[in-house]
Amino acid sequence: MSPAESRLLEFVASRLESLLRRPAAWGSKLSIEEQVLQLLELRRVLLVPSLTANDTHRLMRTYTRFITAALEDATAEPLAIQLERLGRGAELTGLLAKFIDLELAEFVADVGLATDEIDRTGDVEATQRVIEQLRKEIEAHARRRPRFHEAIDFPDVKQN
Amino acid sequence: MAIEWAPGQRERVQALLTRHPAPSGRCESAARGILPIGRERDLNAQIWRLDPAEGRYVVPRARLEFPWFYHLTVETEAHCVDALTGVDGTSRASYLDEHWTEADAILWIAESEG
Repeated sequence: MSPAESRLLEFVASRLESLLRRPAAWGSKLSIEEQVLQLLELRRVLLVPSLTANDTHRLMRTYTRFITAALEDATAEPLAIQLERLGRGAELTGLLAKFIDLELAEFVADVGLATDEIDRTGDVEATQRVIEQLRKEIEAHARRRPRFHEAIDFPDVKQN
Repeated sequence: MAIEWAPGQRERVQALLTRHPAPSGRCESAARGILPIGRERDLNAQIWRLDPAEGRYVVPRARLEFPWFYHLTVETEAHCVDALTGVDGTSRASYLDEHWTEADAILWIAESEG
């Protein structure tokens, strides 16, 4: 992976994290959802450069399946709109965070299966990219996880 | 030319379309309900999923309050039936042009029945 690609991937991860951590700073709920989807498309293309613009379709199939599984009686509309209608708008970022993780997991499976969209000769490189990305995601998760309290440092027993 | 639904069939399809009108975004519920009725007339009836080949949304000519990521329609007797066409259906050949904008950027995908 070139330094430029690596920087772009770091930008995507950082922007995704910011969108979820500080959504109000990034616009309406629908805007947040659209930005997340576009960043995920960019991540897929960066991880496997042989993917074409048609990859949008695969991502959206995965996403609409996710919405159907997450919401009872789901519709074809964006998640943000459906949640608002249900009075559950506050759940948007949590569900998007779940999808971001799920999408990467499904993407790893896709790379492993080497579909027609992924040139077999690029498999090794693609897999290396995904593994590297996974490592970064795990590090990011670890940073986000609440820290355990530091070990209590008991004072030494006073000597009388 | 409209689908010549038998008595009873038309009312059942109409009831589904009334329960799931276009603005509801519940094309999937409508399609899964209409499919068995369509099969009564045409054993090859099936559900098609329309996805954007380019862009984020499929865009019907009918004005909607909220956008759709995709749409499901039922094909039976060479007609599409959904909330856009109404109970009479629209011939498959003219369905895209009649009901959709960006019609050249729509993918037809055979939908499983699960």
